[in-house]
Amino acid sequence: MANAARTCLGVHLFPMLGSSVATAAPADAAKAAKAKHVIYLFMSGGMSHLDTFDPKPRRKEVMGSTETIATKADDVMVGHYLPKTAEVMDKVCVINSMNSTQGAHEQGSYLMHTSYNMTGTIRHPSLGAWVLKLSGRMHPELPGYIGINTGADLTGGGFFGSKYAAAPIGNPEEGLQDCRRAGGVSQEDFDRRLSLADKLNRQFHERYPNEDVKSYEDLYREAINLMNSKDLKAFDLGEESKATRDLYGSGRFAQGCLLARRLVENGVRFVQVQLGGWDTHYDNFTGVAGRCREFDQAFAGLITDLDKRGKLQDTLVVVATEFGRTPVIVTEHNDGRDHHPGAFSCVLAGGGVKGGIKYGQSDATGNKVRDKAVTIQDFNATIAAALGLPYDLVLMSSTRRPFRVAGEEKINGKPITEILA
Amino acid sequence: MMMNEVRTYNRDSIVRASELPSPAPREHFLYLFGQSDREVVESSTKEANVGQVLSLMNGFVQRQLVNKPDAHLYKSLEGAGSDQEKIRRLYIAILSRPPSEVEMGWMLEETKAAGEAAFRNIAAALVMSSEFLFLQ
Repeated sequence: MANAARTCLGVHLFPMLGSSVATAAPADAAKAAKAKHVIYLFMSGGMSHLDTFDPKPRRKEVMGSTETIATKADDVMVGHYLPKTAEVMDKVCVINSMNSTQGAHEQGSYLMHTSYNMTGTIRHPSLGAWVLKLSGRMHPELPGYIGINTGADLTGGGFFGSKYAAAPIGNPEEGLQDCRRAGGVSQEDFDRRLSLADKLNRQFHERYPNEDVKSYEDLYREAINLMNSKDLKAFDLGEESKATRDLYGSGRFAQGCLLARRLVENGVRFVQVQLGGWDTHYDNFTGVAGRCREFDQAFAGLITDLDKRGKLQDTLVVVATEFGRTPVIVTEHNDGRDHHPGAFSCVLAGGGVKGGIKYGQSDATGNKVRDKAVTIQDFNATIAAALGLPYDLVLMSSTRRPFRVAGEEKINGKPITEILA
Repeated sequence: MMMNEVRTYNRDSIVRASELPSPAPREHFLYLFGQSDREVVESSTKEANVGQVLSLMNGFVQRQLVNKPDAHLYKSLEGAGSDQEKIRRLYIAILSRPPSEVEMGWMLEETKAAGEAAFRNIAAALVMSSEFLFLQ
């Protein structure tokens, strides 16, 4: 096996898989960095800001049946669907002045994950791929970037190549599938197969040298390293006590959050967990209540658990969504809310950011940003800064075009220094 | 009017693509290989990831093909007169081409070294071949 891994199915080996450009980071940024890991919770479909993190208690006409409740942080209030989240708000920073230029799901999610608009000519790396590229992996065998129950189109490596794409986990209960040899295949047969494939592929590459081919070889090497890892139990939720599992609650999202915690504890750099179903055009209030039942306990459990284990100080927890939802309640759709990129809310907590605060403001009805507007590019630059990464470092695509984690230079995405710890 | 009977299949059944529900469950290999999860209408991706490699080496393909003695692939070897002929049939079935002379040499060595397991090993190696990549 070791031998098969070394021969690598036909390409030259770099000593490290995730060659890092972290040395390019300015020294002061690296010193300021508090976070080493990111757990990125993506609320797919467009999470209603008014019903969750930006309620307007005095404006009944925009709130519908949503009540406002106080939280453990003075000045910060949330919708009544989030009672457990309210208890951890002293550790959380809410950004109420997010705004996006994209009001459709695909374009909006793409922008949120990449800082760039979709174009036909290039696929941009997702945020996790950027973080991995800029900071390198921590564990020599476990993937640096893992997506749990997540759309693979949003966790790609883009022009960095597929070795920067998230390793996908569909069901957290099952962990990473197929990372052990299939039943009935001996180690010897397994090695023989790899060595045969290696010979065949070597011959093929000599004839057709190609960037994609190399990228596949990287993945084989990565997969073989992973299979040999002593830390595969990082993927096994069965190792957790019942009390811990109950703390997060049941369901894929909740158990995905628990798995994310296990993974960052084992040296995974970036874990993304998705919670879908926020597209509440029809019957918003029932929809939001249902989504929050999945979200509330899991998020509060994650913050509590990370904190208890001393891991919150170097793990940045992000709650993001592609846009908010309209203050106007559409009665003919049984009290629905439509897409609203003009103002919405995202959340940061843990390593690198201050807790118990809110930043920016939407207007009286949550319609437009009133104060301290935060663009998607600012938001992603803030995540990079919390990790001590150079948010304005330009990396070239293979077609020699310049890209940055904070998006196009003319948009001028900047970290929100006020909320950085 | 009678509704058409809704057919259900177990997870490893082979059905027509048009009969598959979409999106596939998260555990399904179609999801792993980039099918849209329908959170938005079209969010499929052709990008590779490490999970796909693990699946090829240890998962679905092993269960359905390589390690399945009654797979059609192995039935096609029945009646082959020699190891050489078996190897040729595996190549044609998987890569739609006969092996080159050099390759035949490697594969015959494999049959000498590994006996009956050799044909499974050869099938596994061919399925992992870079020849399945789309090159322009």
